[in-house]
Amino acid sequence: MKLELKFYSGVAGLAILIAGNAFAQPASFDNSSASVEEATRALKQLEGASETNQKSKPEKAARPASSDPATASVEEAERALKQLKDGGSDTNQKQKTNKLANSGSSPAIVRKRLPPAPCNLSGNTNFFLIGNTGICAAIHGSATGFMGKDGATSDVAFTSQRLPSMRRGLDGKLMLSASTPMLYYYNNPLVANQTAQPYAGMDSMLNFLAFRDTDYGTVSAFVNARLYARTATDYSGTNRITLNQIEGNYWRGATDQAWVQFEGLRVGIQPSLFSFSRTGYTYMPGYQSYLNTPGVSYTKRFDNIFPSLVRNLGASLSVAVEDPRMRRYQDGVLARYNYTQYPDIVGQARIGTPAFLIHVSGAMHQIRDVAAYTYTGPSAQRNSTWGWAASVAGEYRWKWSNFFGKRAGETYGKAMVAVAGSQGALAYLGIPYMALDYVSDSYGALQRSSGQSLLASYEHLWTPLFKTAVTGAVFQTFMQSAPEDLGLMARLPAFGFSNQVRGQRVAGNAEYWMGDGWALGVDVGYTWTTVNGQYSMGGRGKPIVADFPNGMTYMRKAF
Amino acid sequence: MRVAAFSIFFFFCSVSAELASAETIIQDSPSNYAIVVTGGHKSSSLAIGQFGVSNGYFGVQAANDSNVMVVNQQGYASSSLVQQQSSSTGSNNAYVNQVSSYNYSTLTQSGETNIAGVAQNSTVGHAPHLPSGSAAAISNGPTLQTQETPEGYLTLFTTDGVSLATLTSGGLTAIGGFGRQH
Repeated sequence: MKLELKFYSGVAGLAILIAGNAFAQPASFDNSSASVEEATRALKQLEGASETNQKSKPEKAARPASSDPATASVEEAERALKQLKDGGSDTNQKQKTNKLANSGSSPAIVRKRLPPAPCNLSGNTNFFLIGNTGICAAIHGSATGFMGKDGATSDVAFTSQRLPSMRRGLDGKLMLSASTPMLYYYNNPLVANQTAQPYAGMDSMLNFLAFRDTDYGTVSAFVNARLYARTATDYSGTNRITLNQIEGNYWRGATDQAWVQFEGLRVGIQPSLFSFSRTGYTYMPGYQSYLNTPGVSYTKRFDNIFPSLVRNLGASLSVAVEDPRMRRYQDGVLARYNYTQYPDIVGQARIGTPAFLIHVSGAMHQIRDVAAYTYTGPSAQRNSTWGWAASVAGEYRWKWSNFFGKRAGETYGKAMVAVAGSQGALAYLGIPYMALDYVSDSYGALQRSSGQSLLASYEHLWTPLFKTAVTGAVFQTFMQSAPEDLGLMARLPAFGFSNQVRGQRVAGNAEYWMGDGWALGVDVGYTWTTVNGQYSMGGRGKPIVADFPNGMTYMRKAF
Repeated sequence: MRVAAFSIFFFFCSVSAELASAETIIQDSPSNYAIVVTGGHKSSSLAIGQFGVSNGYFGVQAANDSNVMVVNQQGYASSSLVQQQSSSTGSNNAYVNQVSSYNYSTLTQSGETNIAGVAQNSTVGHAPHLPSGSAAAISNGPTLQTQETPEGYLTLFTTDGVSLATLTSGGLTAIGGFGRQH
């Protein structure tokens, strides 16, 4: 019998594209933030004499992009902007303004000092003034070429099905329809055709950052365009070049970030508030979510809180509404989202100093299903429920000489730990597309899936030009469908399933900065995945273990 | 027994031409289930063999001219429901052979010419009769075969404890999939 695997229906295939492009890279590659961080370093350099660390570093060397948290980099840019506003006489002016505001008298409108023109501070010419607008802007970018080899010769795959069952139609009569959900898992050997050849590609980013002080606050805008292209092979062994896309739209895929911000209010395509900072310090991502999504967010900062206890301790509270379509794990058969009534609601709280950061976030994700209605018929309900996700993470940076004295030299370290849990919103876990958010039974009842993920990563800066990193990550998911009678009157048992997936990954990275924005790196890793299944009509299925190595090398030029 | 054997021989002779091109499904997990719903074709010819502790078959054939079905079940408990519906000038041939401690069979035919044979050999009250190899574990992990056939869309999932086969046409099933990208 000829073996032909039909993996995806039309909607499921689209869903897989969505899920895959939600991460915008294959399992073995991630560098979503280089250009943002490069722009941020330019901003930080504008701080001039107050940046004492600059003096201790070689003239043309800078901390590499991959050692700066992506999300924190944008926040650091904002802090740099704030310091530009508040530095020197501005601080005194602000104190006067606050006194006036709190005195009960009519608050005086104080025109804040515009950035000095032209935008050229401390010899940094990468900021420029746009005409007489008072807008300072910077353009940065990076181009990364990479090549690697995916060592998988097979991998676990899932096929979902709705079994023919007797269910009542609208007229109340029993009729056969594709109703009862069923899930199969197996080892897919065709993956070997996809990974037989090495892959190569390029990840390029160009970003534009602008800000302007106004009487009412600072307005800023940021656009990051990203072109990600790599070679890929399908199951038949045919090679092609893939480009980043979202919902089939290449322009949308190329728009990595695009937002405007007024004080704490940010609107546009921006890093999700649920994300901590990144998916580990290696190029190969661990199991945590980092995603740019359309949204509206508001952040309230609290600077220098408890100054008598902790120096430079700051905090922030943020809330956002984000595009729910970026967080859907569906296949179109067992789980099929209807249009949503509500966006995802995400909250975030952070506290930290320049040395450490603690992050807590949560999200609510609406599920409105139409799968049962589509396949069983109008007698099935179109139910809705809510999924949720929560994350706790932390990062700490230190200088080793603080612990071991001079013998530690000028070495630095930083470590991050992140844990996330979810029910009905598994895309928030940053895991592969190996489970669905929920399963809809014949009648439309929704059974939410659950999962957890954990990541730990450490980066060591050996010299100002060389760093290494290691990442370890694990995840597990659980999905099920309660046994259902097919109604075929053939003395068949009830059909139901439960399925568990567990995954582990370790990765190591080494990167050398050659100066003038050039960096050379290598990344290696190993991935394990185990799948177990149980079936109500026949006991358990044999577990499958898929494991494979990954390796890649890359060169980056930042400008 | 000799009458049953003669009936089996005669039946196979009469349908041998159709069986020569029959879609054949063999299941030998401890629990085997098959669901067949086909129709809209000129003819349909299927053969299913189930060799496990528990076997179940549900099938509806609705080809216009000719429906041929052979079900062979061996195990501890076997059940089958066979429905054949041809046109008013069509023919239906069905044969069910069950060798288990508990055997259940229902057969319904509608057409101009209907031929059916049911052979059941049970050993109720005795130790379960398990054909050799029927409880063999699947050593290489679950497997899934999917294929578009002239009869309809075929899926055959086999794992340690269970084998599930479906053969459907006319939108009576939906297939999806997901997994990691490489």
